[in-house]
Amino acid sequence: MSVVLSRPAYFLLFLLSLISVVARGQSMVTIHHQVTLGDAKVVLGEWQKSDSNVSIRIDKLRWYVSLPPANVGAGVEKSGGRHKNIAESKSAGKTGSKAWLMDLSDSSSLDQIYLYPTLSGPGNIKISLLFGIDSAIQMGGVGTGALDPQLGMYWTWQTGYVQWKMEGAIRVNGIEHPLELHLGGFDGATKAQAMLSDYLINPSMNSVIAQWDISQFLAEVVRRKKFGVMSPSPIARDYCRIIASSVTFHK
Amino acid sequence: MSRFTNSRFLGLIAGVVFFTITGCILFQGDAKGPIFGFSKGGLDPKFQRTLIGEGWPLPKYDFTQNPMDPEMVALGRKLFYDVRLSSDGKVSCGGCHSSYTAFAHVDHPRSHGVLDREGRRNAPALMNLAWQSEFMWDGAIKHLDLQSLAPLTHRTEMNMSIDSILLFLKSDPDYKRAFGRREISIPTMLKAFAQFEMTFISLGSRYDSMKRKQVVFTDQEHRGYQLFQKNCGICHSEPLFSKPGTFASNGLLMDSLLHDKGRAEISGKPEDEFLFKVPSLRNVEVTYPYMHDGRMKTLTEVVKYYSDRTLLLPKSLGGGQHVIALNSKERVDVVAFLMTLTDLGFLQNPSFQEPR
Repeated sequence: MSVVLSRPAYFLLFLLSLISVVARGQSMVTIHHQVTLGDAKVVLGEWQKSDSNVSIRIDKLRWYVSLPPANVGAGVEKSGGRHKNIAESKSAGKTGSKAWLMDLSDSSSLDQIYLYPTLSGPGNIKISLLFGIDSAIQMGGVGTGALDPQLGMYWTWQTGYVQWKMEGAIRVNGIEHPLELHLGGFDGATKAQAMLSDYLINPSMNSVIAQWDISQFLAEVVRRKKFGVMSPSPIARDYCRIIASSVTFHK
Repeated sequence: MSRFTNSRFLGLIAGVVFFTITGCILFQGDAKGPIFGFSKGGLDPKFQRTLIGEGWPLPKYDFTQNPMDPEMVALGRKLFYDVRLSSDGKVSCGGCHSSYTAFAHVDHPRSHGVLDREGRRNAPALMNLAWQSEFMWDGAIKHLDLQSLAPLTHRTEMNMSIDSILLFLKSDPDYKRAFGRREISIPTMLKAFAQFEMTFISLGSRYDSMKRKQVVFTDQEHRGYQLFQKNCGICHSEPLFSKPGTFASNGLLMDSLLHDKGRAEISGKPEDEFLFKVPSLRNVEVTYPYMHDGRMKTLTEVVKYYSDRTLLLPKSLGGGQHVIALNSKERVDVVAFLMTLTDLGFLQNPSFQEPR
């Protein structure tokens, strides 16, 4: 599924992207997303402790981050992209929103290039991101790029994107359960999209880390004993809100 | 009866004359020909003005996101009838949605998919889809572009994976030609399906001719129309004869084997239990069997079911109770009116049939 490019091709695309950014009076910062259990990085396919009585093995983890509707037209645009995750959906194209698909099995997808208008004087830049896909985009028809249903993040039997797809297993007090959490929803009581906390950066910064600590989320999963959630629901909404609230940004 | 048949024939002729007079271009059914009702990627402005004059709402579909294109319509038509898009190579969209029956399925109460697997619901008729924003009996799909994904991937329908569809399309020389300069991708395929399906416009029935004052209803049809307006029109509103975005219960008891809870299966809300999308009654004469699970075989049976019934209206229709009371003579009149909704030009349109 991932796009493989040679190093020279990467370099060329990066250069083109940079030229495009400079020409438009834009600056960029790379947001590196990482998933942790506390301070320990999550490693796919390995059992890791999240609590004294709880261990987890994550085999697949993919999720969406997008620009919130408030950012539409704020001059934050796509980079020209060196990877399919930096993409624009057709429906997003209408409003200028963008979406990124993160995939823990593909480290290059975890580097999100975030563009902002170059400041003319001193000041800070606010990074605003939405966990999930904005409702207007979800209702706007078929998407392309990161929103192509072929990427496996679209519920084919109903409208909507899976915004968090986590599969693996969890052991609670020595008992193993399959873990299958396809979370999302954009309508009414099942609206699962959630804003990440805004983060201010200095324009001199080139990169930021977005840390997705899933310990609290897993604690909630264990507390509710809901290890399989496959469709929009209040539980999926609650899980997504906890995930979003646990994201922190660091230099 | 002969008077009835003659007047229906006259209605058909009048419909054809109407479209000629209004300057609408008839769809030629050829990949490069014009598309009936459409120009410059969207609804033809003159056509749209005519429709609005006849009480039609504006279409819900945003054509700027998928401008109508004869080549895309032709691609959608090819896809619609291709059995190779099913896991056993025997089921196409057209297998359950026959153009001769307003794209409904008339063979069984519920449609059969791959390996003869039987679904839980009656394949709905397809028409005037650009005026709808929610699809499937439970409204699970909120955009026409994405509707075809559901039957393509459902295990009791066509049972394909998205990846296998894409692999097939990319490997087939015919599709390489049919996609032309466009990228062979799932979004392109979905938009092509939507474009073909949006050409299913039905507005040439005897009822339409009557509204255009081209024919006059018989006394029986007229009585039936008045009874319909009073008893049925609240849910099946003219001119679409449905109520887009409305889900209602008609009081049918749940089939204990199918255990279909309708809209609640999507919304998760108890108050949505046993609510189903209000279908259009255009061409209802040929879309038998009826109801979401196809439990009723004839229009007479359906009208009889409703003829002594108190329905609970959904909030979207103002709530409260709606009492329907029809005696046996009135029931016949209503059926006579419902038969005026048959659009022979639509049912026999060669552009909707399997490409040769």
